[in-house]
Amino acid sequence: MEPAAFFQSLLSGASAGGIYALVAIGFGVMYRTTRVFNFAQGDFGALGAYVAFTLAVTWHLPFWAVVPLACIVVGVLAVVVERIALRPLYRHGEAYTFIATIGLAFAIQSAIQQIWGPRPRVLPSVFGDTAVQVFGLRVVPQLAAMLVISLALAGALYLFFTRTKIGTAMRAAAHNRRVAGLLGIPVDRIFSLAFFLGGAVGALAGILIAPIGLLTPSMGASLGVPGFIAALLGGLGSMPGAVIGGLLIGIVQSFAVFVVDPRYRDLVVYAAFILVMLVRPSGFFSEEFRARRI
Amino acid sequence: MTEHLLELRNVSVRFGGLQALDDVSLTVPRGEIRAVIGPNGSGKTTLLNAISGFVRLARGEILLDGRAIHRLPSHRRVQAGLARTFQSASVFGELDLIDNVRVGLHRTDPHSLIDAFIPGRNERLSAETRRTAMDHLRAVGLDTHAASLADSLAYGQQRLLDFARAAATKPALILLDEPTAGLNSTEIERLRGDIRRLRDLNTTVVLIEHHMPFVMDLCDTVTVLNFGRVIASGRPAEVRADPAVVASYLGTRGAKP
Amino acid sequence: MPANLRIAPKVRRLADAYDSSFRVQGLASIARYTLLIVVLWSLLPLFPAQYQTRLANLVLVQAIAALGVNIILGYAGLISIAHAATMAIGAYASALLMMRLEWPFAAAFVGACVLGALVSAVVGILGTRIQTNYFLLVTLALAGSVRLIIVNESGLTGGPTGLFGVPPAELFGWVAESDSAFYMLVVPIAALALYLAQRLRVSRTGRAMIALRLNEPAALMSGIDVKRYRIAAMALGGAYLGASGSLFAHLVRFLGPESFSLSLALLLTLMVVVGGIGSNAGTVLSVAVLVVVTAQIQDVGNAWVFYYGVLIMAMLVVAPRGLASIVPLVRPRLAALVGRRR
Repeated sequence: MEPAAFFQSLLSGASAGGIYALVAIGFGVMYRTTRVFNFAQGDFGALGAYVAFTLAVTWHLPFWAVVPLACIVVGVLAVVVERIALRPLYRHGEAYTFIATIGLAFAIQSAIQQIWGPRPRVLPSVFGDTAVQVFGLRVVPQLAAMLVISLALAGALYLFFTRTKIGTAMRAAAHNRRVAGLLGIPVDRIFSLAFFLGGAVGALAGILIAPIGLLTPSMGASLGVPGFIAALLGGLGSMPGAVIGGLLIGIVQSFAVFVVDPRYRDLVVYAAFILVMLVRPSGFFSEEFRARRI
Repeated sequence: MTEHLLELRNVSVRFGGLQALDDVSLTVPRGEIRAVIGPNGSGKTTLLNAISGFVRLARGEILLDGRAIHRLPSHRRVQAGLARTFQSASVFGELDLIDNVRVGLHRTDPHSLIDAFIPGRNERLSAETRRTAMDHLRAVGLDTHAASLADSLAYGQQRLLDFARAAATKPALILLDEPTAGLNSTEIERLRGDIRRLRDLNTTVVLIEHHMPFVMDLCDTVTVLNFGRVIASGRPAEVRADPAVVASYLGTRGAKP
Repeated sequence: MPANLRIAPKVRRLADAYDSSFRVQGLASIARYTLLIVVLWSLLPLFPAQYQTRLANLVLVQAIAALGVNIILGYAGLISIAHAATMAIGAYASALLMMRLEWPFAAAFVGACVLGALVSAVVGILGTRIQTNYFLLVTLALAGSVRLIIVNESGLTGGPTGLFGVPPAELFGWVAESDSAFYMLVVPIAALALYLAQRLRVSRTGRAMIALRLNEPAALMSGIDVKRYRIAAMALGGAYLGASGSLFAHLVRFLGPESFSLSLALLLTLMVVVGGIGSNAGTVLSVAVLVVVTAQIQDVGNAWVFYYGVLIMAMLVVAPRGLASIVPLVRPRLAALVGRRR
């Protein structure tokens, strides 16, 4: 392989990987705080992209307004869903909330199809999607922006969780709901915050990846599946793990086309995932979640 | 057949930086009722979890009847003759009481999957395990509720049901995690009789307990844990008089040996 | 002669009577299911048109699949979204075995069951190595892989355009080409499926599966090999799904990638949730309701997926134990009516 082609594959893989990392982070924020395994995380991304499409293309809002608005819309939806449909299920156990989010995923997908139609849509790129020459390499600005923004956001969230009081409170609520309540941490509001953040970060992932492909009602699955696998590889709830897992999957996907029939690209991802999980069943960075069976 | 049914050799368990069990060695002779006491966080439940395979040992070994069990998964330890109850009520809520105990009979029930599909054979084997299960329920005084769902029981009754399920596995060694918590005085009396009866049937008992009169009356030997270490062991009266034990309960740190 | 030997024949006779009383009970349960078959058969002339017969066939075929999902999800508590993929494997296997290798239907049907069980068991083996929560992802991988193969291996599966000309079911030369004939064939199969699922539920194996769903630590400390029973549940449920896929193939006689979409996996999960997790009767009831309702609202296009998604969430909040939670209320009266014993 030529070095130039190699670097281009690496960049496009890493860019998609950054997005998967965002999906995994949003998912992890919800899971580690509320123990909800949110199957609809990818569909939050799809919804975010469609809302952004309406704001940008139909209402002609500027980009700096579109992104936060779309993220807030999806974040608020996530909070509402948690309040109404998930909170009554916590006492029944994780399986029940999990099944509820499967229902949510299909509801979102179908709602998108009803509102925006089954026809694919295009969300234009603000960073530009024609390649420019950088040090002799052809770089697509949108891809570079995806990578930079997702890594920056991951870093910011990491600081939020480790350095701020409210982030620490969220980790405490994750550790033991009852004790956190006794310590005066407002668990209800912490849960809402976790869902807002998870939904908003998920939406951002969808908005960022949308311009390199098409908007389709089922795009949530192509976002969610690698996102879950990334979260898993990194060890659920570990933020550095999610980033490394996401990048790894993006890069494997990108290079898989050189090895196998491109139509079977995703098969390589599944196989790689299963192989890794067989070697290391709890992921790479899951110290805090291990050995807690009682 | 070894003299000591249960033997722990230099067992250590670590959770991250926390040393939950620190070089614990103890032996429990066959047929004894042993209490493990100690302040909260002293490692009592971790000890039971280590013996039953819910936490991994950092170091040491555990022998049941002379056989090393610390590498076996939990269910294999049960097959080797171990049973336990849990600290919080631990029942199968959507099953009725009979079926809860029949789960405990799993190991001894000869009913295969094929048997289930042979008309007549299924009914007959079921009738037999139901009768055995009923006996176990009668022992803890729950036979009148046999057809209710376990969810519908009061907390104390659920704990007794958990005990009945554990006893149904016909264990050589049973671990009881705070068996009297949540029970009223009548239920405690009954439980005391049940534990004695279990011992008379050749079962060795290790229990964690905070209820001191219960321990002093029932148990042959008491082991005291503090900060994950054994600080005393002996007859109930001796242990009660031990200054180190008194100090650990009053919170004097200088008492660590 | 010592006294204990003299009473031996008497004890023997008592033991025989004891045994045969259970045999009577067992035969009574078989008789009940035979009666069920006969009653369902005799309903056939009551269907006003072919459309209703087709609907009844779909209910029965999907009921078999939902019973399989109930073993996986309802008994063992495993959350999988590969149900549709396992069905697809059974369907394509059965169709292709008949079309390419000219197997008789009965052999192809059994082949579909076995293949469904095998694939599902392999997913179970891989999935149980991983923490329970991630089990879903292995099933996701299967669902994705099966879809890729169906779409891309056009030579074998007909690809995106689909597989036409699937032969009808046939038994000893009797061909179930019409919906009415298929109905006669599928009724006993569905009844057998229900019988086996019910038997499993009250067996030691089924009890172990339900126990590990309700309380894994207590199940482990009852000596239950949790992993083994999870894999067993996957295999048994997989056989049901394979069987259902095979019947579906020979009923509709066309297979395409959209026949076994993720929405179908959702629908099957919904059927079990609505029916009450773990309840066979509730599951069959909810299949009947949902299939008929879906047929009625088909004119709203794909919107039903939205309602089903919302319905799953609503059902969990309002009645987490599903329709089955209503059954215990009517069961004593029903039992008094038919003199049935548990």
